[in-house]
Amino acid sequence: MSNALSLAWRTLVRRPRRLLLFIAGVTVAAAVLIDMVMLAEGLQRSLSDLLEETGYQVRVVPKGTLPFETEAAILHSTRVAAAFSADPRIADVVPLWGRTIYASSPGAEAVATFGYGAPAGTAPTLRLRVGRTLERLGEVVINRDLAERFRLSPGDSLLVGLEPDPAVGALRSRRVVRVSGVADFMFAAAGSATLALTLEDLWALAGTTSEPAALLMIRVAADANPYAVARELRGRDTSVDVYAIPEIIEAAGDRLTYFQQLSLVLGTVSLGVAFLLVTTLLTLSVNERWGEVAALRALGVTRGRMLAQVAWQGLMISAAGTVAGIAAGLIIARYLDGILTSFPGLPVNLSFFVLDRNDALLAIGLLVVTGLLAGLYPAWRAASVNIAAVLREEIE
Amino acid sequence: MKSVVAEARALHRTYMRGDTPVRAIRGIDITIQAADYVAILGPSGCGKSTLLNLLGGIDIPTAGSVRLLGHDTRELSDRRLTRLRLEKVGFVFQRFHLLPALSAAENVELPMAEAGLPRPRRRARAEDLLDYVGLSHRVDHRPGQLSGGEMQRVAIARALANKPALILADEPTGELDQDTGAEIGELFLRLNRDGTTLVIVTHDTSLARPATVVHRMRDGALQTEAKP
Ligand SMILES: Nc1ncnc2c1ncn2[C@@H]1O[C@H](COP(=O)(O)OP(=O)(O)OP(=O)(O)O)[C@@H](O)[C@H]1O
Ligand SMILES: [Mg+2]
Repeated sequence: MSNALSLAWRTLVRRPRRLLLFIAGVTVAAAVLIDMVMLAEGLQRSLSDLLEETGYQVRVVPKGTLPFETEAAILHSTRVAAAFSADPRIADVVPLWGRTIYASSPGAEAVATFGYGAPAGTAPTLRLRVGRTLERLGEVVINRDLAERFRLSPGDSLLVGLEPDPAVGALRSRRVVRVSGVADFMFAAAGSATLALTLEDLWALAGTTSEPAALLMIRVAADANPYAVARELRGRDTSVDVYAIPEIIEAAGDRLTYFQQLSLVLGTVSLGVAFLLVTTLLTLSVNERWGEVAALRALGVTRGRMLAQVAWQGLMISAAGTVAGIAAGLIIARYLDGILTSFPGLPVNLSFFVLDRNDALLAIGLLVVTGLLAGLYPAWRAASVNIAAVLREEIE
Repeated sequence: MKSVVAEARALHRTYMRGDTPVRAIRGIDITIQAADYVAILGPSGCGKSTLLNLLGGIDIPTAGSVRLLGHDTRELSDRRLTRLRLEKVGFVFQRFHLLPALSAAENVELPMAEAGLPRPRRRARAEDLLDYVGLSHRVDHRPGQLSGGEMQRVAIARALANKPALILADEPTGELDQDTGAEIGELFLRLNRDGTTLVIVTHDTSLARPATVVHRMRDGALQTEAKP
């Protein structure tokens, strides 16, 4: 066996430059395939990872919306949250609200920011960089854009309020808050100023007493099933939608299937290209060794062994291309991800290209099978050579 | 009593060239006995190569039969016929047909590897065979580094690899100059004296002269003359 493999390999490398060119071609095709496999569900996976990272497995939103998608709100959220908390399968309920508010610092112009409101002591969508999270009224956690813009660090104070009065120029219902920490906001758009206040402060600032929440985040008890909890809550309150994380991803799916379709088409094309490259190279190689093939058959190499030799060559080319293609694909994916995630309006922590082990194995499997199939036609031709006729043609 | 290595009876081979049949072999009876040195002579196109291919089991008769070491070549599966060639028949081609990717020794080892001989034994035998054909100093050379005569010696060593009952050679000196051809002729003669059965198709009188049996062909038929 090892002998047949070594012969297959040494026959291939007799023309090293040509072999390298074809392997480079298969590498490009494999890289595209790997990238497409990463892209197909990358956004869903990355979103799902972000949602999981919060530690809350169920989301409750106003009927027919997705979190923060519209202005719709769940009113009297404290009461609603308390009612949910009574369920022993629910460990924690956190209402979140958000709206545009303005921030300014003495001597600096006010900027519009997205202001989140969360109960004091909770910060499920923050990754704290310095300082601490919101612990009492009058505190604010800001993102790094805001910290850089106003040169703020924990302990400094910041002016927040509603949109400036055009006549006076000053922020309406403004108040001074104290920076408790600087954090990355997992769902905030790249390059935008973002801050978080306690819910009570945000409600007071907005002048509302109806305690609106854009969403309730629910942590289920360790032994409870998020799907079952979500299903039950859905039945209990028909004015809201309740989603376990995979259900949110599915609900957002319509907006993400473009990538799946694009990936399917480009991935298929890249497999086709890999197939053609391997068939072409092996057909060329068999054609130029026609006499050698006939002589080997005459000397006693069976059809099956001849077929296997060429089929192995197909596998070798596709394997080499696959290995190089995975490396190239990962590098390209990183580069493209950098471009795509810097689009304005996208959460910073999202990725478009995410490699999943099973999908990677699927891509490798597809490439190997493609290499094998691509080798079959030239292999079959080599195996079914008319020995006497070819040996005769070789002399002429 | 000598044993029969190969035997053809009422042999016919007709090719189709488009719609016209080409009757390359027209009713040949021939017997090759162990230790024979058979030379087949005749004008170009008379069917010599076709006859050799039929005897060696790389072509199948359209009528009549070839018995190769007791097996009717028409009745064997391709797999078993291939195995029979591997183990019992050695081929020497006009164009050598060595594998350029392999060294001389590896080329000689190839049929032994195919037959499943363990690596150390085939390597040792390849070296012995290369020594026998006078190439002990060329063991690790590639065909591209060898002269025509040397390549044909390697091919002869390869043909001997599995201790065949019969060696078939089609114009083995056709690509060589006269002196080199004569050296190959001497090698064949030595082979035959050491007991190898040979059938050689040739135009080269230096190869035909030492033959124990000479067949002259014309238009697909034999005109045999036995030597004393
Ligand atoms: N595969 C084939 N298809 C059609 N015709 C063939 C084929 N092989 C041989 N022939 C024909 O059969 C006849 C005998 O050919 P063959 O090669 O056996 O002759 P030969 O005696 O070996 O000739 P040469 O001395 O030129 O090698 C020729 O007329 C040839 O054209
Ligand atoms: Mg001929």
